[in-house]
Amino acid sequence: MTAPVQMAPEVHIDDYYELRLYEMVPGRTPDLHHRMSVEVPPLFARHGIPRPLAYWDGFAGPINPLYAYLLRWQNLDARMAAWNAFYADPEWIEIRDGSNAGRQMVDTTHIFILRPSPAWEPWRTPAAAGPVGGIHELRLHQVLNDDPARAHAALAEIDLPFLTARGAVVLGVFAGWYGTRLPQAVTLLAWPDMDTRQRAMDAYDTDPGILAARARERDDNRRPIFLRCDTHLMRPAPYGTAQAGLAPLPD
Amino acid sequence: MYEVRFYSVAHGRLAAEIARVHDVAIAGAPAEPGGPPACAESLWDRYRIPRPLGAWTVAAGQGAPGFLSIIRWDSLTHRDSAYPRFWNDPYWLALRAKGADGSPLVDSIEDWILRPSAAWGPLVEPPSATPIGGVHEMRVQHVPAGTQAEAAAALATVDLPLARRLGARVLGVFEMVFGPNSPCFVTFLAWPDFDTQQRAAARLDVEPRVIQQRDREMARHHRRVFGRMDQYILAPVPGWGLPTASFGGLE
Repeated sequence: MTAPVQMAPEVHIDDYYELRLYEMVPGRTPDLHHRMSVEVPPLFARHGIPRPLAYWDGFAGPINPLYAYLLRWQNLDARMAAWNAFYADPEWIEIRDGSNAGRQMVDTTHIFILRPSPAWEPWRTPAAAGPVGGIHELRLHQVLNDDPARAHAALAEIDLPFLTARGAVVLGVFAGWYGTRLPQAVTLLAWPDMDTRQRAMDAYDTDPGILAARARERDDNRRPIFLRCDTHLMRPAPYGTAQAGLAPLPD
Repeated sequence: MYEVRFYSVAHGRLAAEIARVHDVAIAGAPAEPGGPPACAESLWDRYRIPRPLGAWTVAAGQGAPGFLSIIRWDSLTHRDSAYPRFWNDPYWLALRAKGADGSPLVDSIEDWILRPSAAWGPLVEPPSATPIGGVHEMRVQHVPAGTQAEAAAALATVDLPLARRLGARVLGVFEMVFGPNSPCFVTFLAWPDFDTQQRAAARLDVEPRVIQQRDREMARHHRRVFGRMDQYILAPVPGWGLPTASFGGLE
C-alpha cells in the first residue's frame, strides 16, 4: 500500500515592497528631487506604477549621496510589465535625456524586493495617521540563516520595544525576499531628531537586558542570530514623507 | 526570468549543501517523510520547480566556499507560488530536520532575478543536449547608469566574440533586475580547462581591439564603463550540475 503524497498548502503572495536605493552622482540630488516630484508621477500613473509610499535622501551611511524610495506591489509580473512600459515611454526618454543634460544623475541602483515581517504587526496599524517627520533610519540586518524567524521574533519582542520606548517610531519591518546578503531583516524607523536617536543607540549598545538577550541567542543557536547591520540615515522628502504605518500618501 | 541563488556555505559544509540540493531537486522523492528516494519525481518536481540549468561550486572568487545555481521561471507569480510552498513541504522539513546537527550549512544567500541581456542574442548557440563540462566562469560587471546599451553592444561585438575565439563558450549573458549594483551584467562562460582560461585572460588583457574599445568608452564618458570585474571561477557539479548550450536556449 502506498501512502498518499503529502503536499504543503498552496501559497498565494500578494504583498511586496520594492526598495530602490540610488547611488547618486554628486551634485545631482536636487535635480532628481524635481524629476521624482514633478516629472515622473504622471508617467508612473500612466503605466500602472503605484505612487511611492515614501521618498528620502540620505545624509549618513554606506551610500553617499543616496536617494531612496519605496513602492508597494501585489504582483511581481505586473511590476515587471509596468516598469518595462515606463522605460519604453518616449516621454520618459525625453525627460531622462533632457534633465540629464548629457550627465547622469544616478550612477548605481540597488533594487530589493521585501515582504512584510510578522514583527511589523504590532506597529502596522498605528493609532494616529499622518506623515511622520524627523529623521528616518533604514536598518538592513543580515540574520542567521538557520531560522530567520528567530531574528524577526527578537526584533518584535526585544529590540523594537526598547527603541520605541526611547523615541523611535516603527514605520515598517520587512524580510528580504530578492536581493543581497539574505536572509535579511529590514527595519524602517523614524526619530524625532538626531539627539534622541543618539541617546537611544547609546542605551541600546550598553543595556544589560539587550546584552543578555544577545548572549542568550548566541548560546541557544551556538552563534549570533544578528550578523552585520548596515544603517542609512535619511531625510524624508517634503513631497512624499512616509505616513504612519506606511499608509498610502494622501492625494 | 532567471534566478541565481548564490549560497555562501559554512566552512566544511559544501558537500552536505550540494547533497541537500540534489536530494530535493534531482533525486526521487521519498514515499514517506524522512524515507529513502522512492518515486520517479523529485520533491521540486511536485511543486513544478524547474530543474536547475546549471549548478556550481566556487573555485575562486568572493563568498567561497560557495554554491550557486540558476533556474529559469516562466513567471515570478509561478516562482512565488512554487518555491515558498516547497519550504513547507513535509518531506523537505523531515529531510532538513534529519540533516540538522546544530551546525549551519549556509551563512548567507544572494538571490538575484536576472533577465537575458541584449548582448546574449547574437551569441546564442544552436540547441544541443550535450552537457558542458570544463572550467566555468561567472563575470559580474557593473556599468554606470545610462551606458547599458553601449556596454551590451561592446560585450556582444568585442569582448565575448574574442573570448569565444580564445576557447570560451558563452552560456548566458544577463542583466540584474532584483539585486545590487544595477546596471549590472552577469555573464557565464565555459572554458575547456584552466590553462585555456588563463591564457585567454592574459591575451584579452593586451588585446588591441579590447584596448581600443575601452579607449573609445573612456573618450565618450570620461570614465571607465567597465570597471572592476567581480569574477568567479566555477566548477560545475559533476553530473546534474552541468549546463547545456546557452542554458537550453533563449525562449
